[in-house]
Amino acid sequence: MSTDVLDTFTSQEYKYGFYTDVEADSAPPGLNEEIIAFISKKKGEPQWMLEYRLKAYQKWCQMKEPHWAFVEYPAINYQEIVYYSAPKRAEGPKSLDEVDPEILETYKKLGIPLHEQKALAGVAVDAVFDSVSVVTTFKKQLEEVGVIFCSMSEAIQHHPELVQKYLGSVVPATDNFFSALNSAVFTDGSFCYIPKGVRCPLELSTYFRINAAKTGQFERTLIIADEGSYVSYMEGCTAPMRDENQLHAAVVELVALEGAHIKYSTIQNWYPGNKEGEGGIYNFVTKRGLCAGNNSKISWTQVETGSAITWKYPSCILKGDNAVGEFYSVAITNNRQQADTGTKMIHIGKNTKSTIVSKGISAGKSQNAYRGLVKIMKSAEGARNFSQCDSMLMGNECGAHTFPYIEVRNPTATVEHEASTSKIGEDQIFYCNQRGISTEDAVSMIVHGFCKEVLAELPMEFAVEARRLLEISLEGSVG
Amino acid sequence: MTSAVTLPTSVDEAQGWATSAIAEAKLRRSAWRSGTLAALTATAEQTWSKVLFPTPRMEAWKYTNPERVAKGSFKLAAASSAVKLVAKDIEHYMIPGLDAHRIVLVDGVFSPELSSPGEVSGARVARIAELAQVTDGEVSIGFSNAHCEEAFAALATALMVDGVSISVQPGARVEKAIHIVHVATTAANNTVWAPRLVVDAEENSQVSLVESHVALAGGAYLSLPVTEIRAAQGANVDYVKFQNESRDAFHVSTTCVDQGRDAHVRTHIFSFGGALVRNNATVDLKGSGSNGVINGLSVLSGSQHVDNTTLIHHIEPAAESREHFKGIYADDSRGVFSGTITVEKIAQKTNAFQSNQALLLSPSASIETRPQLKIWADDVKCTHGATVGQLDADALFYLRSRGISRDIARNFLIHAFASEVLISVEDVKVRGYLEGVLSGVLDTLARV
Amino acid sequence: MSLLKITDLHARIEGEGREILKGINLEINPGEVHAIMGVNGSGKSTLANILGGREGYEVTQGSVHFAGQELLELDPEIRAREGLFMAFQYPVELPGVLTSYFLRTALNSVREHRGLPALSVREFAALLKEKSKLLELGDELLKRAVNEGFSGGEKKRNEVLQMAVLEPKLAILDETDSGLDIDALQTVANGVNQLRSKENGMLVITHYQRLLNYIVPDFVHVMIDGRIVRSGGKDLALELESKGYNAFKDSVSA
Repeated sequence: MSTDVLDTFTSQEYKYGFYTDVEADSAPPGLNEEIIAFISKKKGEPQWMLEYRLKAYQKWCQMKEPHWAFVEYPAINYQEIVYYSAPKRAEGPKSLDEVDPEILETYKKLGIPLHEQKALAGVAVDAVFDSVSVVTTFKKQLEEVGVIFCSMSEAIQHHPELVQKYLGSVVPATDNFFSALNSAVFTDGSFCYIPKGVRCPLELSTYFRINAAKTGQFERTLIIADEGSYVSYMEGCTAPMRDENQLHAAVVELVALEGAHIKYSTIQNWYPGNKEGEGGIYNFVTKRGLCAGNNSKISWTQVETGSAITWKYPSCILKGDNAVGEFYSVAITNNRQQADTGTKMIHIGKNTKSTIVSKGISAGKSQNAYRGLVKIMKSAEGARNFSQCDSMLMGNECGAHTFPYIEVRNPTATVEHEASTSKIGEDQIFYCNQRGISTEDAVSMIVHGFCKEVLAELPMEFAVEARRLLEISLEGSVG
Repeated sequence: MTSAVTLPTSVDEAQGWATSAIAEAKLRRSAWRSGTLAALTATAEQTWSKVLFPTPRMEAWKYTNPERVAKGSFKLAAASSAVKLVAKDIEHYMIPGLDAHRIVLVDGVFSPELSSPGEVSGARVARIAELAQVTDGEVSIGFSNAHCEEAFAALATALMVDGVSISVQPGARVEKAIHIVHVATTAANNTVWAPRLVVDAEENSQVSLVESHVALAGGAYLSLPVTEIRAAQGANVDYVKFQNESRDAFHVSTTCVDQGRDAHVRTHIFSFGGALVRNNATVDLKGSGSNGVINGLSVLSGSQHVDNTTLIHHIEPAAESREHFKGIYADDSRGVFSGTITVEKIAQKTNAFQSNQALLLSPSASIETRPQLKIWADDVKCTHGATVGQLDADALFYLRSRGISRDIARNFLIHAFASEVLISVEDVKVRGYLEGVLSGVLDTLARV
Repeated sequence: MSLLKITDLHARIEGEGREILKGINLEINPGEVHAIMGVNGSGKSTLANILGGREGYEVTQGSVHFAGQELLELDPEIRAREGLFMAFQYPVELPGVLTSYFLRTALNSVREHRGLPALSVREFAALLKEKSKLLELGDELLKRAVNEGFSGGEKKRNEVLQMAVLEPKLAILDETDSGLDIDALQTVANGVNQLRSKENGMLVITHYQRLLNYIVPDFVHVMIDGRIVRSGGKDLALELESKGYNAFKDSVSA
């Protein structure tokens, strides 16, 4: 294929790279116990929360930043990061009308006009701007069925018993370097509780956006699905264009009790940096779900198109018998992006089942790695796993890598792993051309076909956005 | 995915016995005149002094802890074994009907009495210790640097006191197979040896080799064999490594295959014995049109541990590789497969296929498998697959419904699983012999 | 005005010295069906590929006019939008790409080029239904990914259906009969015959006369070693079948 096409698409600009001029209320850069106390005080937190943070901080001080992933980046100076940045307002808004118009404008540019969402999709949105939850729509409707959907700060204030019980129960503060950091400094995030037997009537959704300069984003999400309940949760992310790298170290914890089902979908489109690899978000995230009860199910679906570096493994601990874990992922890297992503499926309960479908697409000078662990413990009688990891390369300067780890300690388990690497064939492009379809459309079509099984898992509201993102990210960047 | 394993304190212990063994090896090499060999062993000694002894904290040793090796106390095997064997003692290890030139090493030392005398038509077969004294520059060795950084390869090279060098002349088709037999005797306990096998197949030549590692007696010895195979343009090499040693033995092998344009090399690695076995195998496809096959089969019981770690490296375009490793694990045994396929940027039109299949026969057996792809070129076809499971219940039932007893049906299916690797062994006689050994091994499993 | 006019076309595979086409002359008018017959290696597929605009060939001499334009200067998708359709000998598979979605994208690209409004999903579905009924092809193929796992016959049927939907001015059928049994051949040929009209033209490329029993051409051209050595009516195909290609070889040097 001609290099013109490649040029056209590798030169695609990041469309979400606008910066919102909102006065921010920030902490000075750096991290120490005073900063943590400042954050906790700013948020009016109870003493137990401050203690939780300080304990995590002390652990973090003893930990070393890990470097085992297939990614390269200059050292992060943790003392240069601003750990708290909130849009300046006296009080939290009570309705959409009270939200700073500039912030609303930002969301409009993102394609998620809050006003319209009410009418259109019936999606409840919790929007996290820098680190603070700005507004949660549809709270009332949810309250009627007993669903709690609010910012993490509110949950700490109003539902301390749930937060205390579950916070850190799936991802302990000491789990890893970044989860310890997050536990010490997280400023906000989403909290969600679905009571027994309730099928959440709305798709819940959070949009994250990093706006302020030199700010780290450390949000924390906790979702608890009580017995027999169901929830579909969507998370979207963007950030403005900046020359320097920004750190995003979120922690997401899911707990599914007996018979509960959590569907968690992510569209990650943080700023990936420019063509030369300057700037962009370091997306170092810990996401883990615990299928605590029998017959519970957690499904992760992700479309990862952004970030300079993505380093995350949404995982499932299948503790209950017959629990099901799923991971569907599309990771696209272009220019100088690096992604090391995948999942861990830990089978503990009997007859637990997991499915992994990962589609990696590398273009430009990017590196795209799948890394996954399937672990069948001794107790996991009759466990089954099926994994499929396919890579597609576009151009000759990128890399696609697959690192699955399979550990089996029970002979009744069945584990199957398949992987393949391919490219878009010139004959495929010609065939489409011969039907009048442009090369750009042909590539987009073939890529969608390649990712189909994953895209099919996305909720309708997200599928459209994912499609558009895929197009922006690499449509036609074939060599 | 880091595992929290504490650093064994045994590193210093390993350094201790290894240092004395290396000193002893140096002494034995004092008559050597070859500059090539001197440089090679010197580099290895230096590397060994710098590298850390492997621990599970290292990614390459995540699933195999060689602590027991470190903690042992191995002396370099004596210059001639205290046990004198006659042909009859090792008859059992010969391959029936195979017209082979035989080279026998007893406890790591070349045995002129047990080896075939005379020349091999089309090839020069020589002892490395002899070449080292007579000639200089004629020892082709150290083709592949792939494992130079690896601790055990460095140690093995530093401990080298002998070995076999086989040079196949251009265009020669060596009719006789070359069978290298490593026999361990009762004198082997607590010794270490590092036999070297160097095969230099020149352009368009053809040769077939079998290397057996067997034991007449139990004993906790450490075998560190290194095999280097260079196949020049158009050369065709068949190599079978067969290991069925003492249940107390440690075996860490290094196999490096280096293939030029249109060269075909088929490597088979069979691991049936040993307490702890690690096979490091590397295939470098350095020429277009080259074709590398590497297959393996492990059958383990008791507390045996076998780790096959392979790297297929596509360096030039349009080469093909096929890799198929299978394992059958009974009792408390543990299997590890770590297979990496790397495709370099210029290696377009690569065709690489890898598969790993494991059969777990007991609740306490386990398998860890890591099939990895590192791809830098876009116009390639690479696939890998891994499956872990138990015997197919439907197939088992089907056989039983035809009147076949449970045990026989089981054995039948296990055989069928294993035979997929066996049938890819080209030589019928070698295959027949291996089938016999495998049957014996499988029968023991069935009885357990 | 002629639909297609090939004048003294010489071509070779890019980077290779040997000429494959050594001066082809051919004119197709609206309403005409032409057949080019030749053995493997005679250059007939090369001709089809050059007309379609596949990369990897180099035209060293001559010209091709299509509906009044210099065809060789157009990108393949523009040729398609201008009304040139190739039914491939080996249609490629597009895993995961739904046939109906693929075809709608194609049709709307063609329509946009011709200044027509895009068809909605509903309108397109109606059109598809109509076309598949006309061709007696059924619509089960539309629900599957393009050619993925299709049998040889299904792939060729899919090609004809695409042709029906895109309504080309000139269709080039490259070895459409290869890999088809007699039943499948009849189905495909019936479809093609339905699409013959006074306005459009067809170029049928084949090795065997068999196909021409079902798609009866107005003109037959025998191609040997990069040249058209004989042209005639439909009877020429029968003559070729009975005498064999060797009998025509002498004409090459002539």
